[in-house]
Amino acid sequence: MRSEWLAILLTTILALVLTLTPFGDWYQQHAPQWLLLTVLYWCIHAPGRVGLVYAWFMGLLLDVGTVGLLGANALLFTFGAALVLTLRQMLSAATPIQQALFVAGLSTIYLLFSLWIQGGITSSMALLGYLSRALSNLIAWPLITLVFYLIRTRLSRI
Amino acid sequence: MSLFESHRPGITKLLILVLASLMLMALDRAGSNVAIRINTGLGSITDGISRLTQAPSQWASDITLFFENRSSQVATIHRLQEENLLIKGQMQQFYDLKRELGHLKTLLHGQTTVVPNVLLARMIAINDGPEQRNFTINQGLSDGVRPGQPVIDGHGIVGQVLRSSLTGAVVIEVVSRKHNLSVSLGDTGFIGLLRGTGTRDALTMDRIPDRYSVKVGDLLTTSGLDGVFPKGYPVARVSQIHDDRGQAFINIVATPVADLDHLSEVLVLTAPPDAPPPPTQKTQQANTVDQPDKAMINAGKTPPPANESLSTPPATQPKKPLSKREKAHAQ
Repeated sequence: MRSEWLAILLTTILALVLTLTPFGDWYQQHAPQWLLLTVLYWCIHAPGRVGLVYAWFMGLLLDVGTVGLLGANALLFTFGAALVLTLRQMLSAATPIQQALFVAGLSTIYLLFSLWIQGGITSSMALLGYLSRALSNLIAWPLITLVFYLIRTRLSRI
Repeated sequence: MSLFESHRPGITKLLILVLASLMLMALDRAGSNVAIRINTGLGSITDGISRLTQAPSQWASDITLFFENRSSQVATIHRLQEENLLIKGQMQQFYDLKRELGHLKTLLHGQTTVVPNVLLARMIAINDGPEQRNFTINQGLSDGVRPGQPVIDGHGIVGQVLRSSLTGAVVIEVVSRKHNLSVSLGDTGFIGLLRGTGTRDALTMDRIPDRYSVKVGDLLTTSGLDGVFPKGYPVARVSQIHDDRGQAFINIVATPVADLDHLSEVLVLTAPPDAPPPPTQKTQQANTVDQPDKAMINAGKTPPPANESLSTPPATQPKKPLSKREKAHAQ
């Protein structure tokens, strides 16, 4: 069981690194929200270990890392995690594609609320560019499911 | 697998966390000490991660430098030596001028100008948001970097330090939408606020009375009135002039002179010179948060009248508020 904690820690650090590393302007604007996806993944697959407090803390860390309004991402992470934990039995029975669609929908709502709290976009084209992250999340979810599954199985064998 | 166990989140826990987030948002907006402390504490973690991830690319560039062509290395050394000689030559005059200026200022205000301590910092991460341009540098609290300190590159003003942690600091660029600074316009002597627009190459300045003759290409320099940026540093060049017909005002758009697209190393001015005494916490915040009129009013009051400072003993006056402010930020 220690291996699962190790997997959670490892993937969280990986997500943080992917979020904070500057890979260029394009990546900055359209990259998937790695940290959010990681939190949602563990809420579905290890709800006994991680929960709302983990989600809240990760959101706070993202707030500090991106120099946004303190607490904004923490709030949305908590709500996202709460929704996923409530619908968990439905979600874990769903196919990866259905899960990915659900995650993309959730992150669209997330992005719009985040925009509402923090403000700052003035043109509709910029809004479309901003929402493209939800599309990236849609593509990234199956990838994350696969990679995290591999990490978990490798670590449980040790 | 725990598929059949229900892990519904507890409603009390959810409520507490939501309340905590809302409290934090309110505290952050109000600029409280708690928010600053959390930013400094957790910022040390995130800046540390940025610093670690940046290390390999640093090694890579070091290695490429090692394998670089020898003749091009020699050429670079020659170029740098020439540049160094030129700069040294200019500096000789500078020391003389500095002494003279210090003397004159002592006669005028009873206080001398301090030449800024500059600190070289490397950019380790970019954290742009929509319409906000920030980046992280690898020097932090332990190197003397404090929030509010000006950041420049070889050409002009880049921005100011927004948050400083143990492992790094975040700099907000002048082109961010939330950023305002006080500048004087070319040779006209007009002083106004230059606002960022959120795009890389545009700053705006509104409502300049049209009796001032402004040309495209005029240089905007810091006025020193805001108490954050020292006087006389170049900020931007006028690129467009919008003449509102039927109004007695013109609006201008300017492009920053600092090379914001290709920043890799910047200089932090750790002891801003001839900053007029006050920068209290309030004026400093007004400078980055969107309250331009407040900043102007406070900034207008800052320089002390000449006769008053002559009668008071010189050194003690500017020291006090500064140390208080530094204490506030160190927390």
